[in-house]
Amino acid sequence: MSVFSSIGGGVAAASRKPRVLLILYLMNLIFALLVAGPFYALAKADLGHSLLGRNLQALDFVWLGELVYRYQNVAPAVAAWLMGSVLLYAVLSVFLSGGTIGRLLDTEGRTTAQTFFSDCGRYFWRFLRLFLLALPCYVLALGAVPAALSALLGPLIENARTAWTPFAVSLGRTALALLALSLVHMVFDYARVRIVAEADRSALRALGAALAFLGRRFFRGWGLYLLIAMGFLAGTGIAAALAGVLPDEGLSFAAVSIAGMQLFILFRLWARMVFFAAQADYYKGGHY
Amino acid sequence: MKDRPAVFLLCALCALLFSPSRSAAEDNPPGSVPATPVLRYEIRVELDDPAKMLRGTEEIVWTNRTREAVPDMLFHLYWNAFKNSDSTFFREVAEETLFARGEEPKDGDWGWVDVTDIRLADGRDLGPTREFVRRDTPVRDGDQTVLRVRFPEPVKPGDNVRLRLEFRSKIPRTVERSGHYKDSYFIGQWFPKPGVYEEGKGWNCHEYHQNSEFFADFADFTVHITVPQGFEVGSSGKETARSADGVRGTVTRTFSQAMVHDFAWMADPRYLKVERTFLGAKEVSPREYRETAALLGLPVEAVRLPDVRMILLIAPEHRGQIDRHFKALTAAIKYYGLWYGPYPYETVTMVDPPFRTGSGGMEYPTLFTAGTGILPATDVLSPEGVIVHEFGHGYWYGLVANNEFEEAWLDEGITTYSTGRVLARAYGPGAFSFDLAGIPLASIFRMPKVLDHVTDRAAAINVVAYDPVFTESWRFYNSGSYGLNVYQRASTCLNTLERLLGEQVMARAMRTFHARYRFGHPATGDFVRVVNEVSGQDLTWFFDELMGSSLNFDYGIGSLVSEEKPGYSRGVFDDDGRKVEMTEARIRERESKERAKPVQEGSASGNEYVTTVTLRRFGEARVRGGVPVKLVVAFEDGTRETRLWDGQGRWARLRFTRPSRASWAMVDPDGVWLVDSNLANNSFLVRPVRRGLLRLLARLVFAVQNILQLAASFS
Repeated sequence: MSVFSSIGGGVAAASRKPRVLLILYLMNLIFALLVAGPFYALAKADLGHSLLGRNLQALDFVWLGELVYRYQNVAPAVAAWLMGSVLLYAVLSVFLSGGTIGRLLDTEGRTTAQTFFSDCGRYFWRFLRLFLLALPCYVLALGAVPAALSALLGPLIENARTAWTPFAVSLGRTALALLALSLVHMVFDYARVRIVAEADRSALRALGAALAFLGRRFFRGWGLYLLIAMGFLAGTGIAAALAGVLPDEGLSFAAVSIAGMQLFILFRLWARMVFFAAQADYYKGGHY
Repeated sequence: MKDRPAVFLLCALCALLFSPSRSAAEDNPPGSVPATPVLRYEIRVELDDPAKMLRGTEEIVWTNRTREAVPDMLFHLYWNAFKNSDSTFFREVAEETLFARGEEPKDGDWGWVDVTDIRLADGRDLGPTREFVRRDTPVRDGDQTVLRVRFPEPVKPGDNVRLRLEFRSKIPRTVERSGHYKDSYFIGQWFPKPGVYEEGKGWNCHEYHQNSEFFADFADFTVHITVPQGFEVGSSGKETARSADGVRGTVTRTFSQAMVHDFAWMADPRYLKVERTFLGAKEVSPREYRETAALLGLPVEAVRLPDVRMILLIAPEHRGQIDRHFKALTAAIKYYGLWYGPYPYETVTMVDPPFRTGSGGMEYPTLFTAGTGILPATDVLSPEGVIVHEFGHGYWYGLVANNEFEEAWLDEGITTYSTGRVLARAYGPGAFSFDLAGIPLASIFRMPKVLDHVTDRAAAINVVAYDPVFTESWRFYNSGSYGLNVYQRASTCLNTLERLLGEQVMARAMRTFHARYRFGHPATGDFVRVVNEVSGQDLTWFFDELMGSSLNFDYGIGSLVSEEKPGYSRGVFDDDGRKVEMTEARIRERESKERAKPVQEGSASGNEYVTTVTLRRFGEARVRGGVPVKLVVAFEDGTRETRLWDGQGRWARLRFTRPSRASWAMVDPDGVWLVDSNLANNSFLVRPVRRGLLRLLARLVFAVQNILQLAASFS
């Protein structure tokens, strides 16, 4: 099976599951509302009856300066709230991944809240173990790999003649970290797909099988991942360009900009489904 | 009413005497350079590139302009700040609680300066009298940045003393402002430099502190700089001679400049040198001259600008930004010249700081360092901001030479204020940006644009509680308090002052201050006196309250209640000798009867509304000098009412009885008090805000959704 047909298959599979997308979107939105709630309440208390609130800009330095002034002492609590929320959402996502992949691989059954969440529960503990196994790999990809490159290219940076050298090294380091990150993502995605597709009860065995699978077709597998990633980045670029021309003031803001923002979130969630679906398609094609 | 003419005449007389429209005084006609400075220098210095050393001789003539006999002389040996970790500079760096302005050099990278010989012109050796002095507190025993020598006999008033010094210096691997990286050099604060002798106080000669800059007397300089052949050199002053020594492979370049108080230079074999001329007749239109003259109350001839030779030394990798640099410098020469007085020197040298010499964004007389990146964004005013700021120091510090150790705000605050004005006039708001992996985000995304005074205020309100602006530089709580107080907070106060006085009075005050103290050493009190004099008001309180203290300034609206005036009051009332109790039921009955009466077309409904606004002074700082706090209340029928409050108490309750409900109330509707730490509470809308908060919520939720989704991608 070719990489491109797997991408096509993935796009088709993800597009056939709008209910999965809807559930993921609602979970994301509700969680975001819960996280943003206290900040909104604070803003409302501060600006709910102020002319400053009526004319609030996108990045309003007048208000932001005041916010820092008044709430600098609670910055650690705010950071803890955000970090805690992110961690909790990561665990929630582990849970939701089971339902997502489960429904994407089930080409015959209907997607209902019951089937979705039943898959979530079925795979949660195995996916959680995979998540815990992935954590050190992420540390390696985002910390150790760039650090190793920095150490390797240290003399080059130390002796740079112009700012171009450290800039190029910095770009290279970022690119390398992202590539390493993509590898970790890819390997663990295949492990999740394997758990669902093969009803594998062992996270470790699934990880080993994913590595073995990719070992035989590494560059094609990675190419598939990177192609989807590039598609996602292209979509993000288009969204950013569109956001640049949309009005951010006036009545049309509510109608167009808010809808645009939420469409982008839907696009992000759909792209994640495409990753899973295309890799599952490739896995099934290569396996059977 | 008959004495009205007398009152009118009295008012007119007062207006004439204290009118804000009085011209800017030109005590010290701009464009002229006084001929007799306190000091004359002739310095010969050679750069030893392989050894990273300077070796030089220095001849000084110092004239005692005081009425006191002076027995000694104190010199700044600034580079000894980088000699070891016992220097005041590195001790302060070690104690810094926020951002240290440097870090200790690696082995072999320390810098220092040695005065190897010092004697009078007649040959008498002053060497045996040398001693390092530490007069700032806390005393740092190891510091060697101030050297004292004693004269065999005191220098009498009016006499001068001639000295000859030999010195050698190890050029530090850049720590702060000066140093080298490979064969790129930026050489500032490098020669033994006498302090400033102040009558009645003695030598003003502070150690080199982490959070402070400099102070020196005006002097005539002739400097002969010898560098290896092939090095480009940029320097303070104007190049007057050049000679090559083919045998030694060196070139000696001579630079001269009268009436400056410092001298800096750079050398780099790769640098490009580009020269252009600022043409006063071309860059400023006749209309701009007329408008400026009218603003300042001066004849047009007094504001005409001379031509200036602009010299740019720029790294080859920034070649594409040459026009950008010159455009910013042209705007700076134009507006500083128009507003404060013509630039008096023939040249200005703008140096793109050599890579890793840490010398960017620094001012020296007739030379300054800018600072840019390899990928500048179009909408972000960088390097423009730093060019306009550092050139501005040529006026505030260069010409009006305050003591930066003791009153840094006088140059940094005024220059920050001026920079914001020049940028706003020449460019408008600049895009806010920050870099991600070296790439400015503004070159990818549409970033909000903002004027300097807005960001200055956002920073300023956060440091008020730490220190007064009027604090000696090394005594601030930390580097953040120093920086934000003397730059942003001082600038915010000056912007507030401008709004309080009006643009014309402020422009005239600034022009007068500059003209009066050009080539002088003013202090804070001098600035306050000029503002009082030009404005015709005693604004000493403004400076004491907002800059000389660490009091929070915050006036706001505590509450706004607007409700229909009750037609009837409850309780017992006398009615024709009878006691009548107005019960709730009786009131309701009477009101319903009145409502049932038909209202004639065109007549008012007769309803009245009582609006009660409670003003509060949330902060400790107060307006004084009879300057009131202004309140405007807007009503639903479109009318407005303005009231004034003296602002002295903690609160005041104002009542308005009108035929309409209030829709909003606002303190400081003209936006005078930029120093107010809470502008959100300055207004109160009866109907809650919806659209603005909806926008905020949408953006907030979107940001959180994206962060969450990023987290999801790891799981």
